[in-house]
Amino acid sequence: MQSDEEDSALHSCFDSLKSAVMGCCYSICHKENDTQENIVNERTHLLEVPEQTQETPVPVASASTPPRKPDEQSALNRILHETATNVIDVGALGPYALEPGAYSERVRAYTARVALAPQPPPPAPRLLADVPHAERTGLLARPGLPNGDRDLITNAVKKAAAAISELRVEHHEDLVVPFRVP
Amino acid sequence: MEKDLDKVIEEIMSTPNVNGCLVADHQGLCLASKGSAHVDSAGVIVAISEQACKIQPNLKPPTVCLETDKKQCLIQRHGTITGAIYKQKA
Repeated sequence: MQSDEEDSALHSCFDSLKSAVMGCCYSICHKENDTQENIVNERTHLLEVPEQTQETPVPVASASTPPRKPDEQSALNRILHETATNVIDVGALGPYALEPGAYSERVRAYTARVALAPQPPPPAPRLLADVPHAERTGLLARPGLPNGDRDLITNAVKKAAAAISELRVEHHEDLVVPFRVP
Repeated sequence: MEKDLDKVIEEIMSTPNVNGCLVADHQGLCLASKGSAHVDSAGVIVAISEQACKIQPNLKPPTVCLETDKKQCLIQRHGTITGAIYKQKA
């Protein structure tokens, strides 16, 4: 029985102690939170967040949807205008017309410039030039090489080739000659 | 040694209207020359015959005839030997 009483007394004591400690902790934490802005400790922000960034999105988000539309429209219009000024519409320019006076003047100027330019070098003399058509047909119509001439050269070359194929070095003297060393 | 070749050359030169003769190998080296044919023209003659052979390589070597009003030069190849005959026009 005594033990039960002691146990219950201990429990109540622990409970009260626990609540006291927790309350104390909470109070400390709470106090620290309150004094956080002034005291530099491990919970203070290293980088101060500017207040405007936190505040500005809120009013914009709240009042954005209706008044933003004209802004977008104007921005789009501005982009369109800039693009239109940068683009050159060739088709809309129309044909390039030149005044007759300016045209003749340019012709004169260009002719003068061409006349001043150095003349191209004369073509190199060709060793084998084309003969005129009439002369060519006359030459080609003439009879070719006579058979006598053809036989002459053919036989001559054939005989020469045969003679050269039989060309041999004839041995007459000793290849090794003793030097007359005294 | 080159008696046979000399004999052939003499034989060619004895042909009527022929006043020059030349024989060269495929590299343009003059092997024999007589009459109006000059040794120095051997290279040119071989080159001409070589170019002419390229026209129709499958056929036998053609006969090339260079001619002026009075003279004629006949060139032909046979194997590795090229011959040229200088001739007066009949």
